[in-house]
Amino acid sequence: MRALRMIKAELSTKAGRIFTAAAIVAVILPLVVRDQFFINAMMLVYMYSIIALAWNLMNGYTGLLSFGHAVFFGIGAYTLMLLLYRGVTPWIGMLLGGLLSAGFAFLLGIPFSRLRSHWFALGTLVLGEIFLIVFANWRAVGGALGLDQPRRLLLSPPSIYWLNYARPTPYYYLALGILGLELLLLYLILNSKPGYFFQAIREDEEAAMASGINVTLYKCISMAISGFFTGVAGGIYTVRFGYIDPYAVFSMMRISVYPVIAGLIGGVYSLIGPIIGSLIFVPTAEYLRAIVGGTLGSRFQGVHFASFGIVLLIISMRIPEGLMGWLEMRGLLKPLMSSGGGSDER
Amino acid sequence: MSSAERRTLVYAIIAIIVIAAAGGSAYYLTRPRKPKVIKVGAIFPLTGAIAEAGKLQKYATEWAVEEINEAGGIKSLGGAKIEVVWGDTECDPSVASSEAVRLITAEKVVCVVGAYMSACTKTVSDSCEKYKTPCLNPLSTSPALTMRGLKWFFRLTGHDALFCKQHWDFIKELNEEKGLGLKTFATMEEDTEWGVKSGEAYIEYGKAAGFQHLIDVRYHRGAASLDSEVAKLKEANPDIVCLTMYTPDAILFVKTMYKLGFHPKIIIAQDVGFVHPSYKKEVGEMGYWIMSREVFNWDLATVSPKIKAKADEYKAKFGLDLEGCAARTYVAWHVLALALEEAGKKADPWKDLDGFRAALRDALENLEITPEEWAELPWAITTYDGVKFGGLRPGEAGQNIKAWGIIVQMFDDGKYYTVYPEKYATKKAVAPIPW
Amino acid sequence: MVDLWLLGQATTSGLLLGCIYAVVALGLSLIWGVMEIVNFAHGDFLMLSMYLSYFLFTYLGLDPLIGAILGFLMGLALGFIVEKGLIEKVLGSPPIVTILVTFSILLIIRYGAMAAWGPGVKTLHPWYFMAILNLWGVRISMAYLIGALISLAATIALHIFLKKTYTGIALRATSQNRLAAELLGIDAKKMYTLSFCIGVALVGLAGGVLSTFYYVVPEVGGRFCLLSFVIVVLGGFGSLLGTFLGGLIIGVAEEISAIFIPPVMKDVVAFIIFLLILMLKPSGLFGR
Repeated sequence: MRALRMIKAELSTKAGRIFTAAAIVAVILPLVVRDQFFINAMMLVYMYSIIALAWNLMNGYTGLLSFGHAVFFGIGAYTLMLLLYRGVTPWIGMLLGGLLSAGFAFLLGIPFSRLRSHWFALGTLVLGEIFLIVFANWRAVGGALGLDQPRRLLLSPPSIYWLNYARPTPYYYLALGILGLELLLLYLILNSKPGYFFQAIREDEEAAMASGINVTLYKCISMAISGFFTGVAGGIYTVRFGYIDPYAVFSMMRISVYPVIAGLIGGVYSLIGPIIGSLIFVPTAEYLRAIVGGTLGSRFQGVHFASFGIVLLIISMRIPEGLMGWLEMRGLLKPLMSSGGGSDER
Repeated sequence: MSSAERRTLVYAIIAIIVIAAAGGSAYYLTRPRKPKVIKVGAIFPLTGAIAEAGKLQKYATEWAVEEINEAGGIKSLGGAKIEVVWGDTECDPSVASSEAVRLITAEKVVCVVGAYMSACTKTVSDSCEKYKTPCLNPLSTSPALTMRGLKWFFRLTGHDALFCKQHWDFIKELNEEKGLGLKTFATMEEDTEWGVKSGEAYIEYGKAAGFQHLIDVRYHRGAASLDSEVAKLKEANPDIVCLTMYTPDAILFVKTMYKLGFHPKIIIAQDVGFVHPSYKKEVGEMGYWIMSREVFNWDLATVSPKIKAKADEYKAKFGLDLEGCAARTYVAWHVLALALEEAGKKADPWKDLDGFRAALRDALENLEITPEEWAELPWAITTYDGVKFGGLRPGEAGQNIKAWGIIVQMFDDGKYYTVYPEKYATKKAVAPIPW
Repeated sequence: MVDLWLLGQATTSGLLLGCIYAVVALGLSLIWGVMEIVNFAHGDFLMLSMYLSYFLFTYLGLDPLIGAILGFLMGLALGFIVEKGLIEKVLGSPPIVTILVTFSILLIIRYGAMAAWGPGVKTLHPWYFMAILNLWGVRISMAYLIGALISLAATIALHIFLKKTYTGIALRATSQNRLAAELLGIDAKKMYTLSFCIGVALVGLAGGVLSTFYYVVPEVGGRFCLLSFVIVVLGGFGSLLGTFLGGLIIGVAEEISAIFIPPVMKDVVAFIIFLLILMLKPSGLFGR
């Protein structure tokens, strides 16, 4: 198939070879490293990567800057948990959570598609806040108390059907697997007609409309795909932590803003950028907290967030194209599936 | 060099090597041994919105652990000292869970003490349950925590439902004693788990005590204005108002109450916001006559010499007045030390960590401190009647059923005085509020 | 039927609060209108000014209204440093960059404040907060009234500045059409710096006002920043009158809705108004 040939070609480039090597390392990592905290941190990296990739489909490839991805995440999380209460396996819960998020995202696109960048960003930000307050006061879905996993699940032996393990390792593979799937799917989509349309919309919306592209429809599609994977990520979170509450899953700082930062660090103009960004950002955040928060915490509270701010400032001012963009501009590496301004081979 | 000189040189070198080796091993074998330590995890909100409380808990932990270690550590384990390994919840339940996993698996702590916010304690205790590690909670007051059928979770402090029952016992008593004729009450709380549960408990026990519930006002934490909320309360005109708030909202509430001229006869609060040092410092006369539950108060030192001694010690060390957060955390570590002593008789944490954790769990479950013993212990500075983990309501486990609190009221000198129960009271409660 | 007093109190509180929201949002409106950037750190400049007032009051006994004036001056200085040092350099970049730059400034200021002054809550009690005006049962704190008057004065002053002074007109010209303004000899860069400085100065003034009755914590900027966004969008891009009225509308909407629906939802009401305006008339009520 043409797709297979494309993938093979992609993987045989320099970047492709590095990617393949990294993928292999990722798969065998838990077998070699025993530190559970590390595996847990890596699982979080993959989970955030899933969100960051999905977010970047909207931002880097369709030009829709979202500050409210927590909405999709939370919908996925709540769907899985509520279905779990009704005895539905989390596998289906994850899928349905993703689909529900996707549907919501699609519908959201209809009124939101006419909003320009700043307005779109603010609108999504505010939507996130609305969802947080509404869910925190909606008794039927737990309200401020959140939702605990069904007690019998906590105390019963782990099984793949219920995904109720104690160790992080199974969740590591779950997240990795879904990330891989997402990468593959996004690669195929971006190399097909919808993908070209997304990028056309990003480049120049009026021109795209003039060439006959149904801009609103494709924006909605982009948002739906983005929402789907973010919702699935919400499901992963739910099975891993076994307890969700609106302040955690609809959190602006932790869920909506993280992928933005990760995308910025890694580079929004390539597919792999947000993953690299998450790889750099998330472990740094986790370990910074363990070191700074743990030891200096009570006297220098907030120091690690302030240092984030400084790092973010430097990056956004000096290397706004992110790591991958920087590498590409220096001619050192052509990242996978790059769509950067000036990319004209596709 | 001649061959004779060469031979001498070789012998000399060999001699030096032998002396060095012998001396080195002699030194190595006789050097003072580094004592073994017992690692205990401490997970508190060191950063984030509730970081103030985390700071107090950190101080209390350092204080208690230093005391325990200086008194000889855990004697049943050869005088091993407790080493605290810190974790930060960042006031986020998933972060708290990750931290618990890190402490349990990477740092290999024998148990975890923490957290503060009930939502964080929930995930931390879940992780501990999964990894079969005891979790001792000094402070979280959500009643739900001990209703989950967990076997490894122990909560030392009383919970909101317990405290609410105490509140209403007190108010009922006061009502009858003074012939106040109070009939109605209203509740106001923030929209978090703590707020909602506390509000429900107020309503449940208030009704059980024979009072009529008029209105429940719930607000979003960090609101820019509480005008309408307080106006609604004023409109309903309750005799008693029951509040569950964190510090910033407590301050805003009190100011708004003053501004709108809302004058209920009794105002009682669920600790936290209303007893926080920042609140006490900043509220001024607008906070007079407000009552709150507490588990510790400065005037206990006038009633109990040992509390005075400890309060002075704390002040000298950290420059702060001793209050409930610190006191309860301090006590929790001492209780843990007792349990560690028991567990140390049965298991060895360095050889068999899992076995030790199980022994520690058993020790906690079987731990019992009677009221008389509690009165004698120099570190027992909270108003519990001792320690015994069990359940007061059906389905409850791991709860210290002797963990009662006190009720305090702010008098017109800006200080909180204990007014209930009688054995700790330093003043008689003033009611109704003399507006 | 709802008590008339309750309605009256809510409306009055809402109007006064709305005026104060307006003065908080004024600076944002100016910056957004002229430079077309969304200053995410807006609320944190507010916070800094509130801390300034607090320290001046607590340690020097200075009235917070004087603190407000000093806050204004501090805002000018701070705005200048931030604009020249950071914002100016990213003015031409795609929106995500400027958004992230202001967002990182938010992180630095907010958590720097937390590191420096701790997370504890602080307040101050000026005498006029305690002075209550009682109009037929509706109670008004002098502090709110003074704040509302300052807000009105600031809006009018800004309006006069923009309409009647040469610099003000130049500012407006730059915001309408940069190229044309430059052709007329206006230094656009200077105009941008000026607008940012005034914008931050205004929020510095607002901080002093707010500190007379609200508490001071490192995170206090968050809520007010979000509300400011809502108000500016509601009022309209580039319209001062719109911002002021937007503030009033949001203030009243919040307080009145809290009577009829659970008060927790009052923010949601403001946010839904925001989204509706975004959908139906993104240029706002009075925007161009």
